Formats: sequence, C-alpha cells, structure tokens
Amino acid sequence: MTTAKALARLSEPKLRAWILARMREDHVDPPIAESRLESLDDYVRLVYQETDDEKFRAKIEKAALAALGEVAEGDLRAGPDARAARNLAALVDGLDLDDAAPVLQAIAERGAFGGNEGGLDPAAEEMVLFALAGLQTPGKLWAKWEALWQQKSPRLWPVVTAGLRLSNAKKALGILPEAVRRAASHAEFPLGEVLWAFATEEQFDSKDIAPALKGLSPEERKRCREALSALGAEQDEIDEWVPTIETASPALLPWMCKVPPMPVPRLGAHAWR
Amino acid sequence: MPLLDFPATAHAPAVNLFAQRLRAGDEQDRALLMNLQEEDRVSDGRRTAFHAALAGSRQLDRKEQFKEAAPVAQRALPVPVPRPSSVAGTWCHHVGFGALQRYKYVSPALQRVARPPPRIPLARPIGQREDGSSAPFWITSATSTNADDIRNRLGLCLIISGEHLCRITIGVDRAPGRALFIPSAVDAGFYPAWRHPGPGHTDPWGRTRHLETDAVSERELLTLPDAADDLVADYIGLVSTDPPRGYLVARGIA
Repeated sequence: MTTAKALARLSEPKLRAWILARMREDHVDPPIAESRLESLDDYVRLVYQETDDEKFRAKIEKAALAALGEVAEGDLRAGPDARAARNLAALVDGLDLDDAAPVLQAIAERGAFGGNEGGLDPAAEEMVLFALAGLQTPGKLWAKWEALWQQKSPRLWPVVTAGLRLSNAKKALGILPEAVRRAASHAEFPLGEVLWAFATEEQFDSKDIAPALKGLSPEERKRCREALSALGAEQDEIDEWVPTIETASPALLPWMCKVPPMPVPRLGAHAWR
Repeated sequence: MPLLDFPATAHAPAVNLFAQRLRAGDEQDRALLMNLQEEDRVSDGRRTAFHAALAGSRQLDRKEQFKEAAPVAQRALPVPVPRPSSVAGTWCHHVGFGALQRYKYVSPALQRVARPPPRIPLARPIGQREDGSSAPFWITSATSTNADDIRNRLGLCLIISGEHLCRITIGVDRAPGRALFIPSAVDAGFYPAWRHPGPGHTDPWGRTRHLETDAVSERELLTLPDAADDLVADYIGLVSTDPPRGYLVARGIA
C-alpha cells in the first residue's frame, strides 16, 4: 500500500527500491493519470512538498540520488533502465537536486554530450540533458555544451541553448545570431522560445539582448520579431529586444548599416575571447 | 444501479474481494471505492462486463486489477449526437507547464525560464502521444486568470505550489463531429478528486470537485485530440499554494 505515511516509514534502501520500481515502470503505485498529463515523478514531488518532516525530505532526496546512481550503471540504450533514467532525470529536476548534476553528467557523457552519438535512448538523453541544464554548476560545463552546439544534431539544439544559457547567460548571448540562422534552415528550431528564454533571463537586463542581435539583417530581425510576437510578447518588449533599424538606438545604428553579408559565427573557444 | 454493488452473479465473490481490497487500501483506493459505489449511470451491459473483467483478472494487486478491467467500462457516457446546443462554446484543457515539458509538448529551450511566454507553442495537439496515438483528456468551460483559483475549482489535486498553470483551447465548436464523453468514475480511475455530478444530474457534462469545499464545481468533459485544437497553450500564472485537502477530509478519506 502506498501512502505518504507508508513511504515515510520505509528505510532509505527500501524507498530507493520503491522509487526505482516506479521509475522503471515495473510497479506504478499509485498509478498515474495520463489523461491529466500526470508523470511518474508527480506523486513523489507531491509527497516531498506536502511533508513537514525534514528527515523524510532528506531521505527522499538521498533515495532519488541513489536510484539515479544505480540506473547510471545500467543499459541506457533501451529498456527499463533507460526509462528510469528519463523519469529520474525529471524527478531530480523537479526536486531541484543540485547534487544530481554529476550523475546526470556521467549519464549524458555516454551519449552525444560525451561525443558518443547514439549511446543513449533518445528520450532519456533529452530529459537527462534538460535536467542537467537546470541543475549544472554555472560555467562548469560550458565547453561541453558549446561542443554539442557545434554538432550537426538538430534534435538536441533546443536543449543545448538552455544548457548554454543556464551555464553562462551573458556569454551564451553570443549564440543568438547563429540560432537565428539555424532557424532559417530548420523550420522545427524553436526560435521564438530561444529568444524569449534569453530576453527574460534574470541574470541580465532585458536590454542586453538587443546588442547581441545587432548584426542581424533586416529580414532576420523581422523573423525574430514575428517569432516573439507569436509567443505573445508585447510590442514594447519586441521593440526593446529586437529593434528594427528604424527604432534602434543611435548606439546600434552604425552596426545596422552594415547589413549582411555577415560571417557565420564560429563558436569555437576563440569566439568568446 | 451502482457500478460496484454486490451482484447476484457468479462474479460476486471477485467483485466483493475487489471492494474489500479497496476498503483496506490507501486514499486513492478508498476514493475509487466511493466513486464506483456512487456511479449509477453506466449501462447494465457495461456494468456486467466490468464485473466479468474484474473476476477474470489474474492480478492480485487491486490497482493492476482495476487497470485491467477498466477499459470495458471507459468512455461509457457519450454526449448525445447531434450535440446539445448547451455544449457549445469555449472548452479548455488545463495543465501544468512542467507536465507540458515532461511530455515534450513544449520546447526544452524554455527550461527554467523566469516566466513562460503568454502563448506557448505546442509540438502536437494535446492528447496526442509522441508516437501519434491518441489519449483522452479532460476539458472544462470554466476559466480564470488566477491559477490557484482555477486549480481548486477544477479539482486539479496534483498541481502543487510553484507550478505554472496553462490553458489550451479545444476546438469543440470547430469540430462538430468529434466525440465527447461525460466522465464516469471508471474514466477517473484512482484520481482522488473526481466527483459524481450528483443525483438527478441530467446535463450532458460532468462536474468537477472543488478541492477546498468538496462542492460540485465546474462543467467537465472528456475528449480525444483533434486537428481543430489549438497548437498553443495560454499561460495563466504561477500556482502559489499547495492543493487543499478539504475534499478528502469532507469525504472521510483523509
């Protein structure tokens, strides 16, 4: 029988075993309501959030980390451990467990993040990178994300933009011109979402984004404005983030007169120095 | 006649045993037991099939047993065709932004954004799985600009504090032929906040349970994904409180 009280009475190894069975989708109790887009981690997060017992919270954290560590040793190309890796990544991200970052990194290294394309189940890989982007120590994985951004794997580009942004937001502004170009050649690239995420980033002032886009052509600028408009950005926000040449501040005008051809930015390490 | 009564058939021992297991179980079990005992709108044929499926299940776990038996009695209460005019209007699905991310409806580029955009593009119609198959989902005609208020009114007991709540407009009027269902206790399964709309209720929709007061709250239906649905979620706001448990206390479950 699974209740919060019953879970609280479990020893840490038994709680880890319960979490593992749930995340491997071997034994899902309580069941999830897919029709309400409930996820396997929702119940654990609910129990974690509703309890006032700090020891129980700490036990959940330790058990989740231990489960993730155990799964990290398994076969992650397919099967129960691959499912568990995906679900546990969502759980540690939802619980905001910074201590999970090294384990997530170790899992990610088995895939494209470590140069091993195809080494991980794609769904697991994307969720692990998603969680790692959110839980990483700022700056530490910059070179890894940057290398992944250079790879010709459009599937991972969106999550890599989050990885770069959350690693070093100011430095990551440098990828935006290339992101705009990739969006032009890959219709599925989420240009609006990438621009929104940067423009609303709390680590810097929203005015910082406009200089990062100063080299864009009028056509590219128009695409950015349309993409942000589709996301419901207010007109004054769009004007501030991606000014047209007519509305740009005088400080930006000299740049804007130099309409393309712009060199395709190379995102090697030298580009940031 | 209720879905879970004590039938004078060969299935009686299995149905009784299932009920006993639920009675001895956790909050979800006891909520399901009460809901099945209140559910009196399913046809005799479906009810008998449900009992037979319970009896035929080899599962020892009551949750697995229910999961195996439920499909014969799911979506048993279709909205009449032609659709009553009272069903017309705007219907929406409400969901947490985190769930949209975990089910990969929205781009991972929005990981840890300070605030989601007002209009969030969706990769596919809501209810459509990544493999293209369809899953039913819940819709309501209620709206609010306050995330806590609408969470409580819709009985969304799994949306916790800190979640961003979103709303997706569903093309009910735009797709006059799409199937709509009045949710039954079987459709709700172990979801503890489902509510029977009350004795004498004949309207072509169900009713949600208010999480604070346990009262009958908003109109709700079940449907399946359709190409007429918006491929965008509207951001409502941040949920700032944990889900109230007043409904569980009122029912004697908590």
